[in-house]
Amino acid sequence: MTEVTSEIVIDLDALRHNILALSARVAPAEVMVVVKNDAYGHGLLDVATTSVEAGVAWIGALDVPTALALRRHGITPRTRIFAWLIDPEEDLAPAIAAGVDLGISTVPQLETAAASTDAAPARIHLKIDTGLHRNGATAEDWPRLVERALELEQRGAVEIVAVWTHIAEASDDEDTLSIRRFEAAVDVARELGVRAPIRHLAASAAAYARSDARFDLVRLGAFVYGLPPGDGPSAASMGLRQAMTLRARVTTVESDPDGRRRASIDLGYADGISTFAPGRTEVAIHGRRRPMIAPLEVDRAWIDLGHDTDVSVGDVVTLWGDGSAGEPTLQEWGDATSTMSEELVVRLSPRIPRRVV
Amino acid sequence: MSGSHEVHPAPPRRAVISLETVRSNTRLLLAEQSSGRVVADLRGDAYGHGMPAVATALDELQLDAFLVSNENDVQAVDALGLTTPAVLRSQLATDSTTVLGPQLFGLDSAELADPRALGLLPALTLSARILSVKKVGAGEGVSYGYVYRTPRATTLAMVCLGYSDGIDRHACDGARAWFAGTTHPIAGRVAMDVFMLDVDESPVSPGDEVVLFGDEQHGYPSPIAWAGALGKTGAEVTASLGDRIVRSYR
Repeated sequence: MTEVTSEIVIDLDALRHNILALSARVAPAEVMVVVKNDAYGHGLLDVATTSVEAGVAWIGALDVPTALALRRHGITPRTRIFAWLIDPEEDLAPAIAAGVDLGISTVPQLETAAASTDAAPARIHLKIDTGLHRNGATAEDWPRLVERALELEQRGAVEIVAVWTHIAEASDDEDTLSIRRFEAAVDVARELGVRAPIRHLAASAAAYARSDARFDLVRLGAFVYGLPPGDGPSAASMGLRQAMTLRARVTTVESDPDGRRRASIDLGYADGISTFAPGRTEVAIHGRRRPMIAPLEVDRAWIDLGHDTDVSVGDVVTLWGDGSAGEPTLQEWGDATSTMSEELVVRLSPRIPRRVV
Repeated sequence: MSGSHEVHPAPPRRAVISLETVRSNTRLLLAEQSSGRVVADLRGDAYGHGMPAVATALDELQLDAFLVSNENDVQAVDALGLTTPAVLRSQLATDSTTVLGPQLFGLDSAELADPRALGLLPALTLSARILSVKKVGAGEGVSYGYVYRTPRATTLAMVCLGYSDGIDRHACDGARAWFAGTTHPIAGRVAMDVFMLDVDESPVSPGDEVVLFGDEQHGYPSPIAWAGALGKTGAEVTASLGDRIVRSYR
């Protein structure tokens, strides 16, 4: 019987633990928990609800559809929801009416936001580009953006809630330069008349490591899920717990003519398993590491068993987890497949069943 | 201004799939078969093309079966009320059965490197909207880690596809996307939700569309070229495209 034999298990206790540990570490800065991409594959509503229950006041939603989904499912305006990936074709009125904070980088975005409300002002966070060169106003365009926002604020069309940026994490020196540029932009905004904006710059890594990057609010994605960057300290050594475990059951065991055995699981590249995994990553069966081997098929992967005979159909294979069953962590998977653990989790197919514990 | 928003704009991330191309590819492949059973491999949501739509489109071609991954998919095909049955891998008689998979969609795979040589065309065109544009000077780092430096003063377009949509984080190492008649390099690490395209001097505005791959006859990079730049096959690329990308059919 080919039932669905794999599952993603999410440990909400681990999430809670991480939120509390990180909140304590970055205090007095506040925490925004970033839940984009179905909360990095962990489940949007479960993570948002857990965060709010743990005292988190800010949720980072990425875009307007995600923000509105959160409001629809009961995240009340007492919790601030921030959306910053703004589609130029998008109607912002429902977001503004739902009390969603918008990240604004350009005057046209600002005009659209201001024109999309006839009641409460649009809550906006003005973004300065401090080197990443994605969105955010350049230093040259910044005063014009701030001035226009102030005009619209006086008219009651917008409320300038925050000034923010996003840094490249290229090196400590580059990040320091970005922090200086951010401080300069905040000064410009204040001189132009913006009063006491909330300042936010740091994502997980900078928020964890640098007190000078925290300002008033930090945006935490990866670390909330217990996903530190590659080639560095482990989650455990940072006092964090990986929340996601990926498991599957052995679906076939085969022997080649000289007695070498291999086991298959029903997870393939269409399920989001990295094509770089075979030959480079391991999984755990009965607490013991076993290498993944080629071929990685569209819906199936293979594991080398050597000449061992202690693995049978139905046995549990743990691909990744917090390491407690002998399995690799996502950090180890990321290092082995030349990427970051975030890429591995957000690329998992929504067809894999997810279970919360 | 608030109030009427009945008109939904095109989704910002789109995969447009030509079912007629899938059918004509299938007819070409069937013409080469002399005997034996022929099964269409629709695993992995028909390699990302959408299994229900593809199964429905192929039903008229009298294939012997559709190969799917698990019981859920068998039930999904059954629910379509087609004449072609769904089967699982364990039910395939391997000796006399031909399985047609990625080539139905004009894609290369480990088994078939050059589907174009058989006259097979890609069925899926992947495109996304430019959300914002920015002029930057020469020598500027772009995106995480600053692995890309602008070779000259240029314009960067922020495109709303990222690695969570199945665009590899390392696609900056050689992949190019089409905009306004020609291809341009991906500038810097692909982020979770966006990538930057270095469009040089091309006039560009927020709302414009970038094509990552599609039919070469329209000047787009082929999915095979796109995948090759990533060290992958086209089948691996389309099967792992994310569900934020809205599929539509023509």
